[in-house]
Amino acid sequence: MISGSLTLFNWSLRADSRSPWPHVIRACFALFMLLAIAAAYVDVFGASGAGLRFFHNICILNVLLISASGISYFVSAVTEEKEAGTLALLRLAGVTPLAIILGKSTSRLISSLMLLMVQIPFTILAITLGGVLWQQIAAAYVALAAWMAFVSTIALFSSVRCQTPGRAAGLAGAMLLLFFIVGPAVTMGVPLLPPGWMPPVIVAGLEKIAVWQFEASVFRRLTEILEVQSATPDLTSPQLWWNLGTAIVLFLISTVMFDRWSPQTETAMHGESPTTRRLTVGRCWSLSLTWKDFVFFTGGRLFLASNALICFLLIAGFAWYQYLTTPWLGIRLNGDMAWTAFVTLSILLQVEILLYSSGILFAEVRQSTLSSLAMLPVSPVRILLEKAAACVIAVLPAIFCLLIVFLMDPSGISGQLSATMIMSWLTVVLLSSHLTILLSLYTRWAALPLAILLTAGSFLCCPMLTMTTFLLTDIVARSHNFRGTLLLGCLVNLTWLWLFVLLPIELEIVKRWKTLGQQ
Amino acid sequence: MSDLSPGRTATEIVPAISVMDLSHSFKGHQALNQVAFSVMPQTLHGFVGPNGAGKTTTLKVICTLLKPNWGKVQVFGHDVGRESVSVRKRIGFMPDHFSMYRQMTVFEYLDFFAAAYGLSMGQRDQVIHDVLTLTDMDGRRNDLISGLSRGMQQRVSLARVLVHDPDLLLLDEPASGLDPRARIELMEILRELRRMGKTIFISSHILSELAELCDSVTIIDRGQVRFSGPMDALLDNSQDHPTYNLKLASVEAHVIERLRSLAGVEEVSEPEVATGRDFVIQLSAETSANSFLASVLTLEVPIVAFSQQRRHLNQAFMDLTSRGVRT
Repeated sequence: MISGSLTLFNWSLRADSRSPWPHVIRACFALFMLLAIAAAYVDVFGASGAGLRFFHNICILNVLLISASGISYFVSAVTEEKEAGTLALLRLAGVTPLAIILGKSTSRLISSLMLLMVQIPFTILAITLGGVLWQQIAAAYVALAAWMAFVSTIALFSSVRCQTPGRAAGLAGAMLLLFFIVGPAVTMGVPLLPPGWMPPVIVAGLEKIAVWQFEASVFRRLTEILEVQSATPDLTSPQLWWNLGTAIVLFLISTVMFDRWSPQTETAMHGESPTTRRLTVGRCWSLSLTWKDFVFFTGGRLFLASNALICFLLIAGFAWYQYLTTPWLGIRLNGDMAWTAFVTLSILLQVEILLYSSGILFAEVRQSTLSSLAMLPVSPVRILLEKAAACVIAVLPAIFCLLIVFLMDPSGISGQLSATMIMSWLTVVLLSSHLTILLSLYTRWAALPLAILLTAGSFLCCPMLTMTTFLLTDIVARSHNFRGTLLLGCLVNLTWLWLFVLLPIELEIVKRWKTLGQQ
Repeated sequence: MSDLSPGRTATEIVPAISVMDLSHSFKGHQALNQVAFSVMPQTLHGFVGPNGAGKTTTLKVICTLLKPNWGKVQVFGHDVGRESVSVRKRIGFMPDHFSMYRQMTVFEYLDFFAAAYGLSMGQRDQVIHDVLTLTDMDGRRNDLISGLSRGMQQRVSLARVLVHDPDLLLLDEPASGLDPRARIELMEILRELRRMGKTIFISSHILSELAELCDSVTIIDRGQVRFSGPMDALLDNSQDHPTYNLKLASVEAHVIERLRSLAGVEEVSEPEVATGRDFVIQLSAETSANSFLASVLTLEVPIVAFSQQRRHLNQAFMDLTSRGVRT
């Protein structure tokens, strides 16, 4: 068992060290740290606690990165062997499930831990800047390491359970989302229920789950650690034990169920019945690539319907909560609740766009189908546009629901929104999706986390640039007695964004696509 | 489709593939060096070479995936660099690896590619039916591709390159990894396609089958063409010393000596596994098969078979290509 694990571990670690991308990510992370230091310095210039602010930002970024990269990196641990058809060979060579899981995950875990290690010199700076003690830093890193173990084991469990990385990523993402949602949903929802509506045993069970989620939450733990009063927090905490305990349980389940969840033979010869297939898949459209990616990449009609249902349920949930807390407002969302629903749906839309961006072209690379597509008598630009159209169709329910929420309280939401805010959000969405698509053509797993890092960097400069452009166009428009300053500002913003940022990325995507097609 | 470029007469046949002075290098490594050959329409042309000889690079250039550093390649008179869209409409390329959407059914896969080539829904139904019938996969149209055997996936892949009715098929190692039955069936399909008027350019390592199947052949080694021409010209033994096989019905006494005594006979030998009834006879350049056979008849031996000995493609390949792996 040990030799099998060691061989796999050694091989994975070598592959990781040979690939330039993990090193690039670490370098980007270090760069981001420098930016965060500069931001913290500017932010609290002359005030105390710059180090604490800086370290707080770093911790939040870490949680986001660990969650994104943990899922995208670990979901391929076992699924890549399943896809390559080498899992059976490993089992025939006498490598046990435990050895496979250990061998494939340990190198990834070490690689991920190196992301935390690269931060150590910078955290010393945080102490120098003031406002944070080394005990707080140590406790925060212990909490982050436990969170990493938790997320990576969820992804590993999904990798063992599912047959493809895409499905595994979906399962892991859903599990993580459930973890974050379940606590607040129970805490807020249960007290609002009429007395006696639910058996006390179930209520008690739900409350225990909420307590577990609260104690296991890394956000809560980090807030606790970084509170100024708790200058010397304990290294251990319920969060540490809950995260590690859940990780161990999931690891054991993955090991025990490994063989059962790894089919020895090919998948079923027949799909669904032709009638079902006609309903779910249907005939190919004249925009064939759009049809293919809509049906086989984004999930097709079935996923579109479920996506729409989830979005509507989310709106209904917000409306119901508003009705329970403020019955006089009715079920039509307005005020703060409309704004919260609007922001939540915007975030969901952004996440959905990023997920599609990370996989839409990479799926072709993974399936080695690029040369078949490159042989079609259509230009690469058209191929890429048709693929983008499939993703646009898939996010239509989220866009539609966003519109519904806006129409429920147009004045309230427009009061909160500004042209700069909309343009900045649009800039970030376009930039992050473009970057993710480009990076997915270079790196196997790191596209999404890397794009998040780069986009996080762009958050610092995009609003500033957008605001400056609006200001300048406003001055120019006023001097020429032009009334449509807002429209002009939007146009100028979109023009510079496309011309100087998006177009170069698009050209690089086409170039890379062609190169991969030749290979 | 017409194979006549502007200015050409009907009697002048435009080659299906015309490769002229083609050179290509990757990062200083010369993959192709002044490669030149042509393939006539409605023929089955074999493309043979050791690993790393430049076969796949040549194929990629022909199928417009790769732009060459130097030289000119035309497909039915269309330049692959400047008229890539026209070329792509007339060719079907089957790469050596399975690049398939495994989550689709056979029908969906073919429907997708037919639509991508711009066929209407009505046309697609007919075309898919035709190509599935040709590849004997009609009964599996609703099966998931992931559930098909390698041989069946190969057939689906072949059906895919046929959906837009290309004039030229470029097949890179189509029989690799197939069991003998699947291989024989694939060769039958290729023969049928040739009968239908398709030009087939096939790169393969299975030399024995190429020898039976192909009308012409190009042998490439270390980025250079070693031979290009009709298969017969390659396999016929040296014209200076034609060699024949003679088979007798029974073992005869002193037959070797008697054969050697005939006029024009230079050498008589027995195959490695001697039977006493089979002989390999090498004649002088000026002796014809007819005159030799007439002389043998005078010996009054019971002749069962008499044929010209042909060089095996394996032997020709080994003679023409260098030993060792290219560095």
